[in-house]
Amino acid sequence: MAEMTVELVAVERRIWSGEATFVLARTTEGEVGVLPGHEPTLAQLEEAGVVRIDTTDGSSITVAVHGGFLSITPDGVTLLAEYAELSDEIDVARARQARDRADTSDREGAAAKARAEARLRAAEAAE
Amino acid sequence: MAAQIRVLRRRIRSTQSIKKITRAMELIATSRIAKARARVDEAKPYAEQMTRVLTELATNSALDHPLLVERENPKRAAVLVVTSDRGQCGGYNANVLKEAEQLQQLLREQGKEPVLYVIGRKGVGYYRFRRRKVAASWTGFSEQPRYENAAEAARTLVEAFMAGQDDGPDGSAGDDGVQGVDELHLVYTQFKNMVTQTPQARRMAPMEVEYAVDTVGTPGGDIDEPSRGPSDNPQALYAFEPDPETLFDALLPKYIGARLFAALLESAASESANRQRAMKAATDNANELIRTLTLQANQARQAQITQEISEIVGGADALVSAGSEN
Repeated sequence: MAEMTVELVAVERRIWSGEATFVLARTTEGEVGVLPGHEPTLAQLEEAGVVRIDTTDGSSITVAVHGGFLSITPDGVTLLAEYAELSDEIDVARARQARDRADTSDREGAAAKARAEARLRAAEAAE
Repeated sequence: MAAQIRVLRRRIRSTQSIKKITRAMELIATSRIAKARARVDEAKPYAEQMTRVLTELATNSALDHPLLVERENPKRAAVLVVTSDRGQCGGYNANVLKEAEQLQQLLREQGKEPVLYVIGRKGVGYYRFRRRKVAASWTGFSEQPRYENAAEAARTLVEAFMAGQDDGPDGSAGDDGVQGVDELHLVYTQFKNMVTQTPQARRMAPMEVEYAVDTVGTPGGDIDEPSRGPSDNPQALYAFEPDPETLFDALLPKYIGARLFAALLESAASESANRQRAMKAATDNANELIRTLTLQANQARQAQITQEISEIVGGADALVSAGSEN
């Protein structure tokens, strides 16, 4: 099966890198599924979104990505994120708390809520 | 005599407890250097990928973003100084602040007014004591900076920079009513190795993106057809979502944030290295002090014993001679 190298890097560390068969992400324009051999693309991801990576060994990784960019080159796929959390690292209770606490009246609060919701979505998708 | 011994013993005891503290701080600093250096390395992949992506974008987009364009007649320049929150780190803060003074001097000579932004309690204290105005300051994270901290400072700086776009030629606030800045400078401490850390002044904006080598093509492609890059470079046939200009707008502030974060991490490593050295010197000095004081205390003790013996002998002699006269 065709495969590609996927790298997921957050500002503070490299979250994941390895071989994958499929990447699903949502850009500001819409959802995009990436298979090996995809046209070279640069895209801005949704401010708070969920990314799924299907690895070559058949498992899939779900990540909550905040402030991310997607870059597809002939060499592979790179996901750049300000923050990223693997679904099994996400503390669901805390994310839920953050979502309920967030004050949506201002921009900061709305963004915090969106981030918390993305974390929850990622955690749910992984189960 | 006995009083002198007591004083010496007390000094030895207090020096010993100081030594314990400085020794502990030295050990903590040592472990922090290792952690800080590991974090510097962990943050590298992001910076590399970011540079690569920007290079790709630059070949496909007109390079007229405000963050990239040199302003005519710059009037105000922001200077961000990265200092530590705590002292006990040798010349670390003094060196950074000296570098910052030099940069401000240089800016004034060029006819620009420096505007101060400070990270770290020591820098805040330094400027407050001299009654110098600080536009904004952030404290409490100098030893273990997180990306949020860098992002927050970067956001404030980029906002100030964008607000400076429409300022009048006399330095007055423009249409937006906010007096911004025309340049962003950063003063931090570069971590070269365990023994060398040098203060550095860098210009962050208008910025020069460090392009990855050999991929810089001709800027200014047709934006209606974003998937067409310069034809001489087959690597640059990119599709963009959204268009390259919007992407650039979103990427550049993040690039500044990432660079600031890298600077904070290096500064944290430098701070710990400086502290480790300062505390090592303090521990050595304490050891030396304890040695001399112990010597003095023993001398005083011996002198006291000698005196007591001579007093007893003297007293006995006096008694003997008094008895023989009877």
